[in-house]
Parts: sequence; C-alpha cells; structure tokens
Amino acid sequence: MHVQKIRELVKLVHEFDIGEIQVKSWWGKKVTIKKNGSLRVDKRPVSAPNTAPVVLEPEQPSVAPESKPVPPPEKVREEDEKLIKINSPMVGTYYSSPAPDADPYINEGDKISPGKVLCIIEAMKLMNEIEAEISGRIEKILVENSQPVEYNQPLFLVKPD
Amino acid sequence: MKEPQIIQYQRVTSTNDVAKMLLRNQCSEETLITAEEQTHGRGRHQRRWFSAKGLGLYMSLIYKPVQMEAYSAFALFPACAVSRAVKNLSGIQLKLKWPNDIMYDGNKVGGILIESVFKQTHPLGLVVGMGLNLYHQNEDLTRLPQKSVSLSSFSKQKIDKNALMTEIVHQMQSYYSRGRLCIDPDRICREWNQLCCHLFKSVTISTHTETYTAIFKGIRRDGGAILDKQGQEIIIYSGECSLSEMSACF
Repeated sequence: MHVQKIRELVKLVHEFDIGEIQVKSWWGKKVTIKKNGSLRVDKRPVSAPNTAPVVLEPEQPSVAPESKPVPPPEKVREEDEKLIKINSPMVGTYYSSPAPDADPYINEGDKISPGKVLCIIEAMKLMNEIEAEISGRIEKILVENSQPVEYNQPLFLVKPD
Repeated sequence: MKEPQIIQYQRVTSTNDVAKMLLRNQCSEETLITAEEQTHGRGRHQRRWFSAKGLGLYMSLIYKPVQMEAYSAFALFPACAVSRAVKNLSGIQLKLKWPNDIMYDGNKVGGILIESVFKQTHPLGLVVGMGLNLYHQNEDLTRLPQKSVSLSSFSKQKIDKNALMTEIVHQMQSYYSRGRLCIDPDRICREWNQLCCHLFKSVTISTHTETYTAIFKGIRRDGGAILDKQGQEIIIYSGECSLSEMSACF
C-alpha cells in the first residue's frame, strides 16, 4: 500500500476518533491501524475478500517498520541473490499449462522474454494469464500444477539476462 | 450509451484469442469482437466449444476496469446480462449453472469464458467471451459431451443474432460502463443466485484433488461458491459443478 494511503488512513483514525481500522485490498493484503498503537501491515493473504474491498492499485507492498516480514520459503532463501522472483499477483489456483493434457507454458531452463505467458492463475472464475516482464532464464519453478497459491507467493526464479 | 468499437471476422481461432491480442496492444475499452466461425472455440481449460459457421453467437468484449472490485463482479454479471438479453428479445428465461454455464431446461445453451492478462503484477484488463448455440440442429449437438440445446429449438420466434448481440452489449453496459460498475455487487450477486438453476440443490463438485457432493447455497459477491459439505459450510473459487440426477436444472 502506498505511504500516502496509509497517511490518509492514520488521519482518518485521528479525525474521527476511531479506535482501530482494518482495510483489506482485493489482492488479499490487510492493513490495520490502531489508535495509540502501531501500524501493522499484515501481508498474509486472505482467501478472498468478503467485504467491500478498498480500491487499490496492485502496487508492490510497502513494508512498515513494525511489520513482520513473511519469511520466504527455504528454497528461495538458499538461492543466488541475483535471481529474480516472480510472485503470484493474487490468491488462486496455479496452472502450468492452458489445458490439463497440454504442454506447460514454461520449463526450467527455458528462456523467457517480456510478453511470454508463464502460467495461468484461476481466481474467482477468471482465468488470469501471467506474462513475463523481464528477459532471462527460468532457473526454478517453485509450484506444482493445480496447486493453490497465495498472494505474493514466489512462483518462479529467473536468472535475468 | 457509449457505442463500442466493433470488429467483425468471418473466421478466427477464438474471439477471445483476438481480444487478448488486442488487449496487449492497447485497444480501447468495450471493443466488441465477433466471428461467424471459430476454428478453436473453447471453454475453461481449453475445452472445445463447438463453433460451426453461422450456427452460433461467438463474441468477446474487452474491458479495462479501473476499480479492482469490478474484476470480481465480472465473474458474475456477464451471465446475468446474457440471460436478461435473451429474456428481453424472446421471453425465454435462461438459467445459470456455476461457474459460467447458461442453461435451459437442464441443457447447456451457452457459456462464458473470462480471461485476463497480467504483466506479472499489473493487470492489462480482461476479455469476456460468450458463446451461445442459436441455430444448431439437434444432430449437431448430440456429439457433445454435455447435453446441449440451441435457442432456436425452443424459441417460438426466430432469434436474430445481430439483435441479440446488440442487446447483450446494452445489458452489459447496464452493469458496467466507462471503467466502473453501475450496479452494486450485492445486487449482482442476488440476481445471479435468483437465476441459478441449482440453488439449494445437491451438486457434485470436482476439483483437481477431490470429488464430493454438497448442497449449493449460492455465491458470494466475490464469486466464491458457498457449499454445505456434510454439514460444514465451505467456500470454493474453482472447480467443476455437475448436477446430480435428482437435481435437474430447470
């Protein structure tokens, strides 16, 4: 969430003497602001929003000083720091191929370039094609076909060109 | 109301393929793509959609919602818009089957496939593909895996394809226009549930990992299906739904 948005929420809490305000974005990110307390950015995804979500751009999550970072999976931590992670932009189901009996969009070792379709994430009955924005080589695929994935969960490790 | 840009083809692989290509090339919102024939018409998971020349309605609409909430609403209202359009033109009341089938008297008349394109984390927009059986003869449809029927087989009046497309576009604009939803998502949700042919009926749900029976209790505004699975309420967002023999879709 943008810092500006958080400032607006803090102002709202003070102006209207609100004890606590919690905002969930469509993407599953949650921000809680308590009066006389600390700001907490909870990056755990919710399965799906069940309340009116606040309209937010799908920006990179900000990390507030008090926020507790989600530890990356063990495999990711061990990887070369030069590798770039491609994360899931939403909660959903990961599909490696367009159809159950079709070849996967990508395999480990494949070269990718901007516009290359990497996978499908099905969410809320929408089939979302995820395209690469970078050029490089797929070093590791971190998820299995048909696996549920969470918001911001690493899907691929890419060695950039 | 805003008139959409219309691109008509005689023959394409799939109108959704064309729509996604246009979406990647920054076309204007609410562009309509139609075709007389699809060589690779498809539903979810690339299931073949029988798209013979001149027999069906094959169209896709391109949207670029500003509100992220609209993305979840798109999972619901296009099917309602098709149902409304057919009702307005022919008086026939079509029903809906989760996730996106359009039904008449237990038979499939059409379907909706919604796809979006993300540049990693940034959504470019989405395409709403619609396929309806219009003028098929019964023998055309007997080869299909699911019991299917065409509108002309039960409509007392001839269905004009162009008039139906126009009415569908107008109905879509009553839900969403100029980048924004025009109807409250809760209202859309209520309408979908009213049109659902298996509300509070027993259904079989198949996911990639399991198959089970449950009572379908409706959908939520985020598109999730509410199920009663052996007394426990669960919400699912993907999977296949089929009706048990006792729950024919009327």
